[in-house]
Amino acid sequence: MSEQFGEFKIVKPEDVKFVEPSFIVYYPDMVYANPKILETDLLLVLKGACIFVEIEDSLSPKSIVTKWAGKQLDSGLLAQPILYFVPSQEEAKDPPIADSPCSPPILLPKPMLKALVKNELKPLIEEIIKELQDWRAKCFSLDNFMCILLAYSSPVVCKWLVGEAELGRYAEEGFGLLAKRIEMLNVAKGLGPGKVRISGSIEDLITKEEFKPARVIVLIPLLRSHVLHQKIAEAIADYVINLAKEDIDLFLICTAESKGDAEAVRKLLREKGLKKIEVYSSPRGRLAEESMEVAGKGPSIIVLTGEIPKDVVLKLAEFTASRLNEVKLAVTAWKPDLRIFPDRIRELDIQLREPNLTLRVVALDFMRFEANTQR
Amino acid sequence: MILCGLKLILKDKDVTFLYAKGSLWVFLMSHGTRIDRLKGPAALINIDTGEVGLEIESRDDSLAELFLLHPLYHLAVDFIVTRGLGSGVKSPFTIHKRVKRGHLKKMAVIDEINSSCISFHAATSGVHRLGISYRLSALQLAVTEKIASELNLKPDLQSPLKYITDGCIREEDEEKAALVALASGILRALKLDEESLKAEMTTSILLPQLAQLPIVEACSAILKILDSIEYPRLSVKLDGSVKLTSEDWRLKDHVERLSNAVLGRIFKRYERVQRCLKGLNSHPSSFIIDYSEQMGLADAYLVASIVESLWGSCRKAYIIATPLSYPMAALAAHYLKDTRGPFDNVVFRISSEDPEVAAAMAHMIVKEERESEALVYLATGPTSHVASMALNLRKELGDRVLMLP
Repeated sequence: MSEQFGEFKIVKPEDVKFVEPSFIVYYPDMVYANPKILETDLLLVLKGACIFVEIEDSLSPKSIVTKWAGKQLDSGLLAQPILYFVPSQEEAKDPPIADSPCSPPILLPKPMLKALVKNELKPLIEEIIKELQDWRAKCFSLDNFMCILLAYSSPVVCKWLVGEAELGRYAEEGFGLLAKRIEMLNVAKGLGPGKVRISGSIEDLITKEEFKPARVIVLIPLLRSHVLHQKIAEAIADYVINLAKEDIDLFLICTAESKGDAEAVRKLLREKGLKKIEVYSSPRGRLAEESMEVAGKGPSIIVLTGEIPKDVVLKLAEFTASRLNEVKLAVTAWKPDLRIFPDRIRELDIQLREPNLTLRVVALDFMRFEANTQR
Repeated sequence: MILCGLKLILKDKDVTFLYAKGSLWVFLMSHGTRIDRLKGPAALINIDTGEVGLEIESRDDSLAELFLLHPLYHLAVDFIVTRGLGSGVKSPFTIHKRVKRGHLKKMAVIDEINSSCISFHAATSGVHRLGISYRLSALQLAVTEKIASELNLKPDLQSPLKYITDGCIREEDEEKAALVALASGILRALKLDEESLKAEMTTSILLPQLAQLPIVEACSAILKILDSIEYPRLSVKLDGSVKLTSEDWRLKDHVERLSNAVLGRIFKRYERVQRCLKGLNSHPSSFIIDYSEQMGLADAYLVASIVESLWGSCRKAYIIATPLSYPMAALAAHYLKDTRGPFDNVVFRISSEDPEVAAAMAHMIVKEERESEALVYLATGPTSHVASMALNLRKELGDRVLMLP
């Protein structure tokens, strides 16, 4: 075999430069929802390669083959190596091929992975988990984009993007996870060492927030989807409840076209225990003015949900910038919550799987970028 | 019954900013992650149903199938047809596989139309919100010089169509190809579940207007009569509202019905931008242009034309993309750089829907523009990005930044 194909390199644990548990990639359209297009248990990044690892607890090797074929096809990873770790040595030795539509996966016994994780890979896993927990929610969309590049992109495109779009500058603003992603790209795509400098810092202001609004004003555009109604209602309810103010007034501002959506959201909010909710229908051209009028009556937060016309967004940004102490602007954004890891594979002592994304209200006065004024 | 179809033939520039002929389409279609070459792909469009097939050389079969299957890539044709290599029939050994996948599907081609990678990408994309946006954007590109002329702009700038095709396609060809892409896309979209389609198109510039019967009838008629028309000879007029029309009497009524849906946004936007910029007292030193996924090369051309007509030149343009809009934004940035438009320096950056990342982007720009007296921010990206950018730019730079939707 080696004569025919040339010399194979045996991958050793020390060749693995990065390890990430629960490597998940979503389609990058963030308006509605984010379907997962790739989900793997463990990603190994080596010089010039990515290896996707699947860990199976209870499936027979035969059903692994079936699952493997579907999953590889579904995620567009037909050309990528995938390792399977299965419970026993015997199963690993005897991969079924007779009635498989695909070539057999590489099966390795799970104790081997256990030893690998415990000895060689642990520091790498801990390092990335810390970055993920600290940063993934703050730069989720951009991080997801870099995961797309890592899994699917050609080296030329990666090199061009990192250089031309200066993605490394986010690292200089303090986003450590993005620096790590660039290093992963450099290693996996064979682009050289390219260590990225992290400087500057970001002070998170959310915990220091002492702003107590009397009202929350929510702009509701055309949504149509019941799932979005639910997600938006959940996001608003969580936010309002977290403000810890029971007598808060909630105003849902909509147009004649989106009134049905606003009513649907109000119904769901009531089911969540929020009572003081009014729905205002406004002409399209007066959406911003209507919101400002309500916000002008005292400390308020204006929340933009879905896609709002940009003239309205700009007017509201101008308005809030001129009254920073009385009015705050917020948006809804999809975020993963990495504080809650279900312990799917407890015995390996790896925290795995972020839960499905949730829509969250994010106040825009949230960060202060420090230092690094000179490049 | 033999199916009758129009054939779009991809014509590309020999060397683009990334690679070579045929690769720009792959770059756009693979969401910017691939730059492979597919040799001479063509699209076959059924004039009755709008159904689209990709015709490809058999050596490119597996690559095309990978693109079609891939969850990230835009290619969403109804079938792939393979061209045989050399003499003889197409691989009788694999006839079962080829019949199953539609590779041997036959379509009587009644007209061949040259197409740029932009309209080819549009025609072969899916018929979701983004796909329909790509189709509108392609038609806007095809008539962009006419839009500029109606806005009284006569720039020295090379037209974007010439830039991406190196002059191998005339504007008339591209108009025809873009019309085919849009008409077939609308017909294909109407086969989707109605409620899903409404939910998908919610925030789109289209709203449900494209699904109205007169528009659907117009699209159907356009596909059926285009083969008998050498060139649609489209023109753009401001006649109370924006009007796209055709000098050919057979097309005139049908094309006019598409007008507002197709050109309304771009026309009103740049008319307003032009008006606001004319009223400025000082010459802005930089432009920050947010690129949404509905924007294309026409937008870059019109912004540059307005800047050129008002001030001749400008120090800097920032083209800000999101993960969804970056392939087209990257192309626009290269177009502005390569054609030596009015901007002395063109900077391409990727931001995202994360408000935190948009704040960091605003912070980076503020650091670079601290000395600037006047900046213009053209805000068209996703709501969360625009809100965060706008708030931070205003807080940091005060009245020195003019923000326009």
